[in-house]
Amino acid sequence: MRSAGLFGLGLKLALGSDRGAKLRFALMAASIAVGVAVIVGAFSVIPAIQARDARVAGLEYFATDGPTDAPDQLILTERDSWFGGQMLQRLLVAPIGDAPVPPGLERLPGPGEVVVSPALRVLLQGPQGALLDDRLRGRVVGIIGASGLLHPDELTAYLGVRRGEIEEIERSYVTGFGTLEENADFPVHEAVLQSVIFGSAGVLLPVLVFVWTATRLSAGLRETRLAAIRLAGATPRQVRLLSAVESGLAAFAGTLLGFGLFLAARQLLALSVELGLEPSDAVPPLAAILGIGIGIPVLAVVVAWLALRRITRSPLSVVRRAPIRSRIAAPAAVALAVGISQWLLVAWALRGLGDSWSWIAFILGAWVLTALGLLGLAPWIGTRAAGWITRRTESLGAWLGARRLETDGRTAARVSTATVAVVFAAGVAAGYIVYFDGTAGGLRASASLRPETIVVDSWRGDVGQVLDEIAAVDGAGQTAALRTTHLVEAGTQNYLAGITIFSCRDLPSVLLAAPPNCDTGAILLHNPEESNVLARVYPGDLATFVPYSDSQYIPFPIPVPDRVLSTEFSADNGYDGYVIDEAAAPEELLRVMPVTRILVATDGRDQTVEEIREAVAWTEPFPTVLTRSELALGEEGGSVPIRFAIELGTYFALAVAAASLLVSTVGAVQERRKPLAALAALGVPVGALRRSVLVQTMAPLVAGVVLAGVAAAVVVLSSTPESRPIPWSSLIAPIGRFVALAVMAGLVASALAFPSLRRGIRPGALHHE
Amino acid sequence: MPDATTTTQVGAAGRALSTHRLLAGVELHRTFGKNEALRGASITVEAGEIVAVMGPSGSGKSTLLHCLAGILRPDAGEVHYEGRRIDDLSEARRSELRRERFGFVFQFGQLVPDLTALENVSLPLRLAGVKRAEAARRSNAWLERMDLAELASSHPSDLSGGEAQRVAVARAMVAEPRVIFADEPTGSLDSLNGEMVMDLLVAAARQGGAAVVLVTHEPRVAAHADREVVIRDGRTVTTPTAA
Repeated sequence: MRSAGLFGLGLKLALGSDRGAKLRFALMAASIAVGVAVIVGAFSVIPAIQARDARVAGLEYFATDGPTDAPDQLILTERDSWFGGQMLQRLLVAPIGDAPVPPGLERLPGPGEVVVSPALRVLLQGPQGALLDDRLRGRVVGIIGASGLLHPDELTAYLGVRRGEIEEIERSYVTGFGTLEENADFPVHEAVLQSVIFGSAGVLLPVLVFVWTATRLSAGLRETRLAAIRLAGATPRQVRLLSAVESGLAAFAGTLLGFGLFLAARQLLALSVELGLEPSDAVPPLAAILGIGIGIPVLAVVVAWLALRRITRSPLSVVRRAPIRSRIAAPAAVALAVGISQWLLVAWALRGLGDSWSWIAFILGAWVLTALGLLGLAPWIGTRAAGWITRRTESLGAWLGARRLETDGRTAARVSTATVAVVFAAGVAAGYIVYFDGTAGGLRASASLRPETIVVDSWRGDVGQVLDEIAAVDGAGQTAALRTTHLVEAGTQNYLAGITIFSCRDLPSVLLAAPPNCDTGAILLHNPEESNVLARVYPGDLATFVPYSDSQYIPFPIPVPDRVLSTEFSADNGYDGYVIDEAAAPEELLRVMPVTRILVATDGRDQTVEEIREAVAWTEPFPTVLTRSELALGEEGGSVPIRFAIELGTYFALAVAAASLLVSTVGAVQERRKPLAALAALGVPVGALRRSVLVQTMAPLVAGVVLAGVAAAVVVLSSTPESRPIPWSSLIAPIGRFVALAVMAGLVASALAFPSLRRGIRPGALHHE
Repeated sequence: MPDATTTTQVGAAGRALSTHRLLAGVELHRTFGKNEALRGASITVEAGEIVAVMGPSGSGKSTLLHCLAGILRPDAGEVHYEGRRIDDLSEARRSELRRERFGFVFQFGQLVPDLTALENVSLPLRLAGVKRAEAARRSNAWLERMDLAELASSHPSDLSGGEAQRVAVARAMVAEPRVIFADEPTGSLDSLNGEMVMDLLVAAARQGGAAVVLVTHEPRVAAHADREVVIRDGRTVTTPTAA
């Protein structure tokens, strides 16, 4: 047969006329599509960040705190607010001479004029627009263009003010916008690169396993067909060509689908204003597009060709898969031991390499070795677990399943490979989140607030007028003013403890729980779960602090606490340390420590919050008004998108792993339908066969994911510094959650395979070949 | 020796007669999609009798065997075992019947690949609730009878075709069934091994008093039977006694 004819036959074999062939083709293409989408996505992260950084650089400005000799300057100050949980960026501007115009603006707004972002324009025109009248006082004279925004949905406004007005407050003198030239190279922080590498590796592994299992599912029937064609007279080369066409076509379709999936998925970027990314930012490099577009189908063809080498055909056209006998438990144990040793080294010896690429290589090596060790050991453990079950169970179903595992632990454990990998990666990620949470201050001020309490933050001076404005708003109640700073070790500036001064009698109305009888003097608060402040402070030693209104260190003897309280209370910045009642505080201390935060009890209405924002929008020192949830968002810092990405990646990977599990389980049932049908004919109840499938799936899975969870905990505990240890018990819930999810995924996959089992044991399977 | 014309009797009289046999299928119909595999096939089997069901490929032999064994439920007609109708029993009850009264030997894939020869043979006993040690003892005895004692711990993939079929015969006999259903038991074997398997199967059945329903298209295999039933286009026809 000519090549063209063979190509046509290959097409026919790939697409087939029966539903099963189409389903197998679709499964292969879908699995490859998911893999391609993940790879393309990984390649797009860096360009996306660079595109955003380019926009950020375009908006940055050259500025000084005081006026310069330049004739043309823009006086600018940022007075941010919030609206409905989203930041509202307010930039007050006044020109000197022919002042530089910010990107995206056609002209500068004059006094009483406002230029707003498109999203803010929509908001102003809506029913809630009136709630912004004071903050955006003036007439809207223009819309900020795309070049002046990081994200199309951001809320930004340039407000024109008089020069005299703006010069009375803290401001900058801007001589130009855009810190870098066009097409400049934007280096991406190594931590981001590391996150991309680890994240991609964590997500890609289960995807590759899914591709492998989906390919294997169709391999059995395809090999049988190819063997039949071979026996009909096709040469080995022709058979290989047929196989290549079939695999290549699925891979090509999958690759195209993968690019489509990526284009669809990147639209999700538009949902997060905080990330500052636009869908069009995520564009992989051309080389990556070409490499993936050509490489994946070629790789599929090569893999199909290699797979055929494992097939032998007897004269009776029986296809046997030549078994590859290998004992990988010992090397896997070694890999796991080396991998965990590397983590220990990272913890104890090599932390100094933290900023270098050798650190990345070392960590990546530890990750790969630990993962390979886990994957290699899972079958061995599954087999041992099966042996244990075999010796003890009197249940026929469990016995049949366990014997199957004992005989062919590798095949059975392959079913759980992807899930084990995901649990390990997700467990490590969850563990590090616990660690970062534990070191990020621990105590969250937001957790101590009443739900209807709002926070008015100010770091810039007298708040007397602010308090008056707030008191005039309907719905605003009791206020409590806090003065906060923190003590640092004299000379070293190492953090020692926080100091918060407030009036104790004001607290109950704004806090859920205040320290009891706090008006007795200095109280040292500590939270035994989160802090070790007691080990850091030595009363009587001389410390220093910087009042936030100044930049000069002031000597301060560490006070002898009147009481030491174990509490989770945090009034201000979340740090542990001293709280001192205003009445008991030294006058000199009150003089140098300005009010930094005002807690305001409200009636809980959104409108009250916005009215307070309106009231203080033009009041010195331009405080920021936050609800409890907005404060909590700030306390999370920049970790919110990272957490979101980790959660999203984990659940995606888990879903892919569950799909692998299902495909593998169904495939295993299909491959063994003849002996299963024979067992059913012998009178083995369907329930016993189900239990056998359940044991085959769940025994290696449970053993593997438990091991993965323990290994993840070991990795996290061993790679976090001794100076800030996290209790191992704090890892049980976050890592155990993924172990439980994986077990549930296994149960669901097994249950979904039962209909296939029911079909597989029909008497038709007993018919002669 | 049973009456060779029994298998052609149909209708109420035939049904009445069949209820006195060990096993009887009366006017069985079974359709798979548009394909009518059985079109009124009837058969009776006496206790201890070996009946060969012969016919060309696609004539409905295996379907008839599956209906008689309770693996398939016929669309129409009745199946009786020891005078009790069994085709209308639930799947669970039919499974129970197969476990306790029937044994099976198929052509391919009947041994569980993950179990050793001994474990495969002991499977029906385990199904019947016999303790593991007792099941192993009785299974070993059958493997010895099949001259397979030294292969007790071998897996099916390590056995030759003939050895695997002898294991299957041992498994079929170990629970002392009343009827053995053998579907092309020598179909995948050469003539020498085929003869050996048939000799062992027949000898074991005779010694245990089990009836055998033997589906084959080979006259040489059918020659081991007491009687032949020919099936053609889903209908049974009478033939003289073969043995």
